[in-house]
Amino acid sequence: MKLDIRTKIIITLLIATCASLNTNVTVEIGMMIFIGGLQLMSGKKVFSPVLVILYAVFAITQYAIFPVVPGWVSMLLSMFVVNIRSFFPVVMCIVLIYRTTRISEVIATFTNMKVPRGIIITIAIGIRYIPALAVEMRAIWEAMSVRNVAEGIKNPFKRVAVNMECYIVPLFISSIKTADELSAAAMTRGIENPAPPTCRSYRKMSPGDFGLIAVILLFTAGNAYARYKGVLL
Amino acid sequence: MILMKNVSFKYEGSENYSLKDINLTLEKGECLLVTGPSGGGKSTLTKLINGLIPAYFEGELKGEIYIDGINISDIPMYELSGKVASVFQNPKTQFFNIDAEDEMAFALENQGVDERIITERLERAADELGIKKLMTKNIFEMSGGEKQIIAFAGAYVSDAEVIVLDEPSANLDREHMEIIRDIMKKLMNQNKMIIIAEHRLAYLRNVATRACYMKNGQILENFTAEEFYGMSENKRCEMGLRELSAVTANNNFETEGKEKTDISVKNMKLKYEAFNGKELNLSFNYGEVIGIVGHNGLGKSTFIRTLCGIIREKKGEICISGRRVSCKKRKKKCGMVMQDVNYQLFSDSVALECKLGNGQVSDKEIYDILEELSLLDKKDVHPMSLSGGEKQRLAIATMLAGGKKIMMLDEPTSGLDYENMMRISRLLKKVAEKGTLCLVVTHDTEFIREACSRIITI
Repeated sequence: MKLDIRTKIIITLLIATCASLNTNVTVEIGMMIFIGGLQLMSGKKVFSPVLVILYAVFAITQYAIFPVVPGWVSMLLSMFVVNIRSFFPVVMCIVLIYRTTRISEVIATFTNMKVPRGIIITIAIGIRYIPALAVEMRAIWEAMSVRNVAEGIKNPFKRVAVNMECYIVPLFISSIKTADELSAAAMTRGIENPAPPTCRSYRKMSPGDFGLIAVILLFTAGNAYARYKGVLL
Repeated sequence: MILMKNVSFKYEGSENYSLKDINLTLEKGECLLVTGPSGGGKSTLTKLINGLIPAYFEGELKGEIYIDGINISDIPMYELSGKVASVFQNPKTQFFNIDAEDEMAFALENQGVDERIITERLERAADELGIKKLMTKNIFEMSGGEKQIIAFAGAYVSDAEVIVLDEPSANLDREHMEIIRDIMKKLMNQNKMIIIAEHRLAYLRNVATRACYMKNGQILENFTAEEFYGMSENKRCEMGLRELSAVTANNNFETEGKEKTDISVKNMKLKYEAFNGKELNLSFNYGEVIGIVGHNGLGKSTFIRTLCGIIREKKGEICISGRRVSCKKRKKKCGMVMQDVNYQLFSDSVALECKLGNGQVSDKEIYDILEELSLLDKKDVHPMSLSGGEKQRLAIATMLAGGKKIMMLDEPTSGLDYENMMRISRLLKKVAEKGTLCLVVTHDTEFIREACSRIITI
């Protein structure tokens, strides 16, 4: 299945709206299954089992562990667990976008929509930078793992702070360097050309795109109505 | 034709000129090799021709540069990009797109070239360069060599008159260097002008038609290809240049370990697809400098990361002094200098960097190590303000301060000139003499010849 970039963005926004309105875990699991299904239909490598497992861990923590631990522990953790868990369908949508969208497709589609060039380049660089950032984060984690940077520090909060600082400093520096080199390379390929670029990857939205948006729109409307009437609370 | 007339350039905020009074011409179908020690102005020269100076890097520019009679300061950068294509040293950060085909078409799309023409050119390039298999690949699934081939293919497709190459072979094995050399020959047959800034010179024999030697921002000497590749060994060493003829890495090397074994790898399989389930049985001893060689993308870096304990082995065991050692313990015993050393420097000063994670080590011991690695005068300097070579030495210093007896280095001489390559080579031999095992992943046959006691082919 090949969805249009606009469809994927609209789905993400609608799912984010649903996630903020919804308080029913069954509906939330339904959203996870639906987006997971979309991921699977978009390709084997698009589906993210890690996210599904993490979601299951959060759900089990809330419904199986919190009832049996002391009240203060569940009080302390429930805000974090519930809020993060309810955001998972949106993260699944973001994964769907970045694993199925070619940068040329973003540029072509938004250029056709007459979106200003500066905004298009910013979005395109953002999508390009996600996997590059993941590579950099892994490299820094590897470098830290062979050097116990927090050795000798007993205070656990200080240990976390030292680890965080050591992680962020090289990440920040490598991000600047990567962005700098990417920008220079893009300039030598004429990215600043004000003339309309060739949109090889532009495709019109298909009836399937419109159908999918309609279904999720109805679902969102249903969610809003239920919230308004207090049906699913 | 390219014409540079009395060109001088000073970067913004710098007191000295990076280029001084450069005059050069380049005719169609010529390939000019620009070489010389690091910091001599080679990269600055390439940035002037592709327009990054002054469009991206600001500063004071004097003189004039013409391409086919057009003064390039009279046209905007995006117009110049249609005339000049560039390939940079780092394949990781020169791709704007994630898919190979999109990247190759990117420059043409920005120029608004008709879709049919782009498709035709892509198909022709895929045929002529034999890269059909790569066209649908994601750049994050490619080896460094494959990425660089796609960067060259992008320049090939762009149909630009001038191709500017800034150390394109820095991370490549011999096989990929030969592929890019063949692409350059094809470009020259199409009457393109090529300017290449390089330290590795041997692979450009029979490609470069002229050479110029740059030092301290000036062109000190111009050569024809015959003069350049025919120069004496003494003159080459005096000029601080890399080998002019291909060096074979595996001649006269011991390929077997000695009887005594400090570290052994038994029936080890790596978690790496390209490794094809091969089992490794190897032995190493303290005091050795061993080159780990093999083609791009075959798992050399994965191998040293597994030895270090960063990645768990799929099967088999790693023993130190006869005892099996877990990943966790290996991390404590091994250190690694990564290809991009910036990832592994975390502190505010050189001395604190050595202290970090090595709480037991005294200040005196740190100063002794820094003195040995010629870093003592920089002890209060921020690690990120050091040069590339100094950062590498600092990473080695942190391992010495941590008492690590096994060091892994991933492509430590990538992009280094002769002098800096020799410096690393001498340093590793010195460290090994004191009982440290150095395992070095490298494609640099000159370095292997200078530093390694044996090689292991992955």
